[in-house]
Amino acid sequence: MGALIAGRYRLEEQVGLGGMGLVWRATDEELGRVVAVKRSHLTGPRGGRQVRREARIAAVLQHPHVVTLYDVVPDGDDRWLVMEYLPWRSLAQLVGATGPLSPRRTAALGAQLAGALEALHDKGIVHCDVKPGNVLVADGGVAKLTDFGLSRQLTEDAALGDGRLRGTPAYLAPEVANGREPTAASDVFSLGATLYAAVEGVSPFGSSDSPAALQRRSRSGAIAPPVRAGAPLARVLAAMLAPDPAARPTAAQARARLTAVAQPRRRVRPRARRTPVAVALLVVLAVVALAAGGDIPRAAAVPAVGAAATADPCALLSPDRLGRYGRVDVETDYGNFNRCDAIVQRSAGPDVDVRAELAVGALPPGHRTYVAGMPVIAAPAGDDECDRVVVIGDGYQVYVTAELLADGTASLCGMADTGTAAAVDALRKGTLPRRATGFPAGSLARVDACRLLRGAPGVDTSTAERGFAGWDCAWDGTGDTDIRLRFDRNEPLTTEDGSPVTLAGHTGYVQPDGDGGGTCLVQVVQRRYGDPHGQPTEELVYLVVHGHGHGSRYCATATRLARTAAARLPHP
Amino acid sequence: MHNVRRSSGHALRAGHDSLALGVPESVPGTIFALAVTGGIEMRPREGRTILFGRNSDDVHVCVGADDRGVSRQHGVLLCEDNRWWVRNTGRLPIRLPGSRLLFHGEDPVPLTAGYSPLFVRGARNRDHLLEVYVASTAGDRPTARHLDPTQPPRLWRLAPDERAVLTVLGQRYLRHEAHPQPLTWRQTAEALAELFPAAGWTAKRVEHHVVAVRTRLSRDGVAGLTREEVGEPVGNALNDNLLRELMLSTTLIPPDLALLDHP
Repeated sequence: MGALIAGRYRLEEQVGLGGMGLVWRATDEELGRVVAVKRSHLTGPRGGRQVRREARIAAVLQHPHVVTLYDVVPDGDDRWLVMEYLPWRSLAQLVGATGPLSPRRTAALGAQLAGALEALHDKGIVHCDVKPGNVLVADGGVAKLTDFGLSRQLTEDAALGDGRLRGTPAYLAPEVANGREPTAASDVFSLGATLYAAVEGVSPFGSSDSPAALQRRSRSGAIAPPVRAGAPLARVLAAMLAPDPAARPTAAQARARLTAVAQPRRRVRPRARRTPVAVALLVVLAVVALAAGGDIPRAAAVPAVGAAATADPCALLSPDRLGRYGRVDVETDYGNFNRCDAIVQRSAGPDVDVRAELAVGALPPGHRTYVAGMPVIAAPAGDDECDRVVVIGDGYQVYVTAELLADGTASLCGMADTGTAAAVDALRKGTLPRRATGFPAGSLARVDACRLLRGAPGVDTSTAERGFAGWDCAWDGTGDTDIRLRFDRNEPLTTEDGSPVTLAGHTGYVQPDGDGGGTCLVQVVQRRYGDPHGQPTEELVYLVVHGHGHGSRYCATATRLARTAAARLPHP
Repeated sequence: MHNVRRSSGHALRAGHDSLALGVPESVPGTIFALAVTGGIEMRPREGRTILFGRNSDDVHVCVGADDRGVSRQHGVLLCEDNRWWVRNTGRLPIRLPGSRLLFHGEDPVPLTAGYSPLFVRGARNRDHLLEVYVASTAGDRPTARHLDPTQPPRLWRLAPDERAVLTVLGQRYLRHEAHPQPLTWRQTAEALAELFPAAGWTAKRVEHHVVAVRTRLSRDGVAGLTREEVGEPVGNALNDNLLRELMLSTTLIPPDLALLDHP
């Protein structure tokens, strides 16, 4: 029978070690519930103050991703904190037991924890010891931040400034290792370091038994580039781990960016952009196309796509309306065939891509509103992207996306709303206008993507999900993998896009982690042609195998499938 | 001399953590030797040698590559009679812990177990640090106490200015001199002014920084940092106690002396 604390809490089992004390599982004999209790190790007036501060801070904070404090009880000379008990593992234990987490899972945990930091920072509290040992994770993927033993109000720093280094060296921001007081920005760094450790299996400063050595490495701010994180998560981590505190995102910005990484993307983002050419001419062409398109479907006022392959996505864009944000350049031949892009070149700040894409299938989550009587879903915004989805009916939708093409800021959702209003206007005229010209023989637009891997070994054909006009298709693969194949148009590929291979007479490029962590990307060149700008352009099969391991693990499968697909392509 | 690198050691990369911070658990008698360009780890065996000096092609550990005052082969660590020794084969002396100078041709001096900073003298009195660590028994690491999680490691935080002041003030401690004393406020300020002419260092400012650090550490339980504790006459006692604590806690370590090489 364990000791009874304050005549009420029966200690059952030691479950962990907080930064400043032992944690026990205990039974609250009054309420009959299981709780966690923690005693401060520090004795004397400083220890008491430490516990009182932790209690005060935890008490003002009720957050779904922060462990709840129930009570603070004195027992003899000690003070005990009584907290929510969660039979969970710490992130440190989880990574120790199962190995590093996938980038997406890491981002999902990170988004929750960034939300907790956001709430803390809003109240002027800095946690000061964010690390894998202070994150509890449930099997379902919920994460909570715990251990406020080192946290403090930003307003009380001078009185409490002591000589000790605050925090854990392996996760410490460089400025803190260099003697400065911890701030909200240093919490963001420590969260970035924690997520780095979750996805890489080792802290950004490497491993060492010597905290002094880790502190010295932190002081330099030098970090080994992540190898498992994949580009989207690595970009967010690099920002969170910036040596200059002012260059890091706030907790709120980090949450938004991590959320974007955690969500399965419909497709990949654009990579390289072409140099804008003949802008004025293009605007004229686009306006002419719109005017011509507007004349046809007056008869039927019911929004409809009509025959998918001939519907013109460019009819959904209004370069005129976007003109108030900057010069507009329409890209008709970038990405898959279901899409049309307007590149807005702003006088200040990076370019923004406002695009319309035709899609089919399940609706994404988000807040539903109406624009001119048509249902529109506002998807949760990321830092560099804002999405609106106009619901057409018959399972069809139009995605209107505004995306930053370089680091910076823009009123993305304002631009997405402008784009959405234009798309709704176009749709309310009835059936969408048709493309001015059809696709030539040999174009991938005439191919059904699902057919390219039908019956291929390792592909569960029964799970095929056919995208708009059959221009993309997704399947379950063996060994807990997903397989996606879509068509793409881009500048001619080079060896920067992967290792070149020959696949059934076609050139291909194989790139581990080419579509994010845990993926292998193979691109197969179908044909080369000149786009309306006169720029050389390639039609591509974009095939991704995605699993939970290193991307390179999937390259053999991806290459084999790409060869099968290449053999079934029409003569270019 | 050819292919000295094909010997039975493991290379330590440049930028390896200072040996003052400890070494991994190793076979007793294993020696680690580290300079800024990297180093070597070698198990003990009768007759094994580690050469150090300026000419990276002819030595295991390159020391003072850019300093013609350092000899191409300035010295050797050798394993004999179950211990490691250091011998000077170079022109200028090597300074050993305890203010001992080892000259060319003198009998080799045995290295004690644990950490020893050796300073290889170069041109214009520049010193080049060669850190040596000889493992004695398993687990004799200076950092072992840090592994006890209920006793948080004693890591003191220093701002960059404070670190510079204390490195200059305590340079004799960092060189492991025999009876080290702190520099005076004025000496410290003059040395800093020479290193950082634009920063406007004065004795007053040096004192201000050092007193601030003493106050912080004292509040956190370090003994002997206040006048009340040591009693009059105070002399150098407060700074002596401060520097000893900073050395003991590895807050300051010999590689920090690189600051004094600041152009």
